[in-house]
Amino acid sequence: MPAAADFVQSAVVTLDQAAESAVVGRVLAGDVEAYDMLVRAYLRKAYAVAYRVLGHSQDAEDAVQESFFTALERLNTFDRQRPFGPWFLRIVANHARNLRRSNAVREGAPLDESSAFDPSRTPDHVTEDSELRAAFREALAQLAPRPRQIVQLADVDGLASTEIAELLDLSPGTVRAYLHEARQALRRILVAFHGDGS
Amino acid sequence: MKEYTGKHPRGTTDDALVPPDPHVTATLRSVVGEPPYHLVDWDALRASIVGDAAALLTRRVRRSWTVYVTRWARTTVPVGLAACLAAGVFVVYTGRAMSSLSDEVALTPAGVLSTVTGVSSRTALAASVMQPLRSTAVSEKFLGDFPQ
Repeated sequence: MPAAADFVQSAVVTLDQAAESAVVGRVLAGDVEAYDMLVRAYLRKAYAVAYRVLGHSQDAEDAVQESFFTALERLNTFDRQRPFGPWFLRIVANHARNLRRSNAVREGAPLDESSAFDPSRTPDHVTEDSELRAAFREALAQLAPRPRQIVQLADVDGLASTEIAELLDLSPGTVRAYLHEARQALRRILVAFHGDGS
Repeated sequence: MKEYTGKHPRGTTDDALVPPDPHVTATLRSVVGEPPYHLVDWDALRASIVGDAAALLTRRVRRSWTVYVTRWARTTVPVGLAACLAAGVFVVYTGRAMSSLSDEVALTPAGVLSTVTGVSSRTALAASVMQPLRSTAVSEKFLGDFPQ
């Protein structure tokens, strides 16, 4: 089994928008090394998005692989003045949805957008019934679907608000408002348990 | 916390506008659970993705702008040279013609008349001027006043 966490931490590339635009330009000119940088920058996020839709690791990997290829084919249509992440993650989400709609997905835990955030479907190893976690799960379940989705995509999967906005067809401002609302609601649970939330 | 405005200036991060609470994030991760990153062979997945792309990227290199320029140069350069040559010849001949015309007009006023009327010499010009007079009664009367 690969040392996934170690690899992810060491291999992930972080690009600001200017650097990203330059890298995309190099990819358009046929630079394989630049393409590898893009892959390293977005591989983990792409997997997270695909996994949230498909609920199966291998299917998520397949969707990610197809998405990167599709993105490369369509790269000449990408507006380099805009960030690459939202554009690319939308491709990932569409691929994952198409894969889920087809019968090609493996037996597992296929997740749709609402069930992906259902606390009852969380892995066993993280569902210990401490009072705090129970209260937290309850608070999470009481959130409206959108804020719940958004806080998970942002705080668990590490997506930016612009990326979430593109995935969910919302404006970035709306995403940030939902995110703020969700974080405040969850923080109140912690404050109730610890007094100051720490 | 910075006031939330709904705007997202370029270059600012989400965290600057809606800062995450690390305790909320940690508890959320423990409750919801991250995707199973540990199941993925990241090196193999990355190598596979980049390997798939290599062929497409190679084709893209062959189709770069230099290829198009090289291809079109074979046609456009000879055509351009021929056009330049033709334009040069045209300019030279046109210049000569204009020069000779301007000399004639400037030196001889009759030349101007001949240019306007289309006749080529003074004699012909006089004949062409007198021709209408001969064919009228006025001209016969005028000529009849002279001794035969």
